[in-house]
Parts: sequence; C-alpha cells; structure tokens
Amino acid sequence: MRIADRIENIRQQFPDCRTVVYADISANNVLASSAASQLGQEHLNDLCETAVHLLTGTSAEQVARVWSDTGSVRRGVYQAIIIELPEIGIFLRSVSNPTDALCCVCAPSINVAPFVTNAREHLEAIGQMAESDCKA
Amino acid sequence: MKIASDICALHRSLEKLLHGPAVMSGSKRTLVQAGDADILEAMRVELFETQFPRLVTFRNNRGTELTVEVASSRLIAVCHPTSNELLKDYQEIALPKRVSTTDGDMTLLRNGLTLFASGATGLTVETRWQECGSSAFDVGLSTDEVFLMQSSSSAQQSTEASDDVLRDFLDSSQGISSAGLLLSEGRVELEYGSDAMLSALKALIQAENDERVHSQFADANQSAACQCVIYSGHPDDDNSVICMSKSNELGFVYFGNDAFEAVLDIWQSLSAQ
Repeated sequence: MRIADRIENIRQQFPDCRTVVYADISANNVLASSAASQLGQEHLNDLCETAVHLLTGTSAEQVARVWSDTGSVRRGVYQAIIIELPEIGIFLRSVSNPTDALCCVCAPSINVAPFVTNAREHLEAIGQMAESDCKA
Repeated sequence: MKIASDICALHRSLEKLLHGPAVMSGSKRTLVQAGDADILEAMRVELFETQFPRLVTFRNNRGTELTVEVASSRLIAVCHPTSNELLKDYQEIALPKRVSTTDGDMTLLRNGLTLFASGATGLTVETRWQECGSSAFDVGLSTDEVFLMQSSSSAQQSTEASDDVLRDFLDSSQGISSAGLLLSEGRVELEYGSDAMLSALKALIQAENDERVHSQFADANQSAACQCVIYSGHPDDDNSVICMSKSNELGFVYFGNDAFEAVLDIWQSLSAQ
C-alpha cells in the first residue's frame, strides 16, 4: 500500500477524522495529505509546525524530563493530543522512524483510543516501507 | 427565546396603543405565564417602556410583590405594596424609598430583583398614574443599568463556574492519576501525589513559565477558552501528562496510559459544560 493510500485509509476507517497530514518533523516538511475538504498548503504547513512544536519543542522536552525524573527511560514525546471544543488534534511520532509524524484533525466525537491505535499502525508501516526502500 | 420575548414586547406595545390609558393605568395584565418568557426581561421591557410617571406593581406567581415608581425609563423609588421578603435591606427605611447610585441602591435593587424572579414562572403587572412623581432624566436609576448589572452578574457567575473546570478535573481524576497540581496566578491551589511526582511536576512548571504555556496553547487555537494538551511517551512506556490552561489557571496531571480513556472522558465531559 502506498503512503497516500495509507493516510487515505485512516480517514476512510474513521469518518470523524477530517484531515491527515504525513510530515517529516526534522525538516518541517509536509510529505502527503488527505482531507475531507480541500486545504491550502499554508494550513498543512501550520499543522506540520504544530507537530514539530508539540512533539519535539521545549514543552515536549520538559514533559520528557518529568518522566525521566520519575524513573522512566527518557525517550521523548511520541503522542500529543490537543483537545478543544470544535476539534481534536492528534499528533503521532513514529517509533520506527522518529522524524516521521502524522498530524490528524478530528471531530470531537472521534473515538480517540482506537483511532490512535489504527493511525499508529499505519504510521509505523510507512516508516518500515521507507526503511526497506532505503535498504533496497 | 429572544424572538419570543421580542414578540411579547411587540404584543405589549400594540396592546397599549389599542387600549390606551385603561391598560396603562389601573388594570392588571399578565406579562409571563407558566414560564413562557424570562421574568427579568419582561420586567425590564415594561419599565423601559414607561416614560410618564407611574407606580408599577409586579406580582409573581408566588404572590410576591414589588412596586417601583418609574419615569423616563428610570427607577425613582421603591414603594408600597412591596413584599417584606424583598425589603429586608430596607427595614429601617419607610417607603417610598428613593433610589440613587450613591448609597448602594443599585445593588439592593439588583438583589431584590433576583430574589423576586428566583423560581418564579408567572408575572403580572399593575400600573397606576403617579401624579406627583418626577420625570426628570437625572433622578433615580436607569432601567437598563439596573438590568445590565443583572446580566453582567449572571455572566460573571457563569465565568466563575467555568473557571472551576480545572479544579473539578483535578478532583475527579485523583483516584485514577498519580499526581496533580493546580496553579492559580502562580500559586499552588491544589496538589496530590507522591513527593517525587509532585517535585517533577513542579520542575515542569518552573521550566514552563506561564507565558510560554499560554502562547503555545494560543498558537493551537486562539479562540478556545479551555485549552488542553495530553502528552504521551513511547508506546512501550506508560506515561502521560495532561497540561490544561484556562484564564490565569494552569493544571497538570500525571497518569498511566491505562487511565488514558478515563482521563479523556472526564476532561471532555467537564470542558464541554
């Protein structure tokens, strides 16, 4: 399955998900997107920037420090969810390829836990695809 | 609701035009029946529309009476008949009691109106000519001001209620989270959890000064009143921190991922109110 198909698949499986952006957060770059309505590049870039900020920014570092101070291995933030009344933003960082991220904008009615599980499976599969492409 | 009250106001104006002074003086009219309109709004409209000097007696469905002298849309005095329960602040004063902005009468009137309207579902009004009343524009209290105070008081109460979202959230999540901290204007208002966890959260707060947290959340959505970010670690780990912001309050709760859905449910139910 191609990257575009995978992110399209996430939206198809969860109709409450309006937008999915696949991004390289090390380069602050949008690589692919799928949205219920046509979105401008500026909007997609904003989503990518929010992902960079939430997953690797100063706040993420401070939160990761809290975890290490309480005995966990310090591995950083891999998921950030912004909850607001009109929408929920879900930002996932790949475990297999930590520079990759998914930025998802969903309706408040989204069932968060199953959505996160599903989106992460696709994200990790994309990371493994990229890894095998590099090896080939 | 607004349309219904507009229609009621229009109906009353037409009634006055059609029936003239007979309606405007001496006869009793029903303004609100079985909760079909807002009691205070009906009173405000009635008083606002009164230009010539009148004694206006409101009666609610519980038999409580409030009589005010009105002219030029201004409340001049509280008069007889007015129920004793509304007069407790005027006990030492014989009616009629002229009202002004200088001695806290706005507050007394506001409290009286709140008491009068509280739980009432019906309202009648009786209007009498007040020959010796004053129609000067600079005496008494502006009807709109008195009732605006009422509105702003309600708005303030709802803000205060929503400001408790963070505290309510921390209270509700105590049983399922490891540690929590609530800061109001930089002061710790509530904390629970082990010393190690609290120490880590306090370190987070020190590092994350208010300005940075607020600007980060503001970037996410400037229009949101309650803002909240849940950070989670590596999927193999078991850590999440929820960071919340509202007005001058910040809340942080540390929890295990097994409580993720429960924490999310609590936040969504509280913040949606």
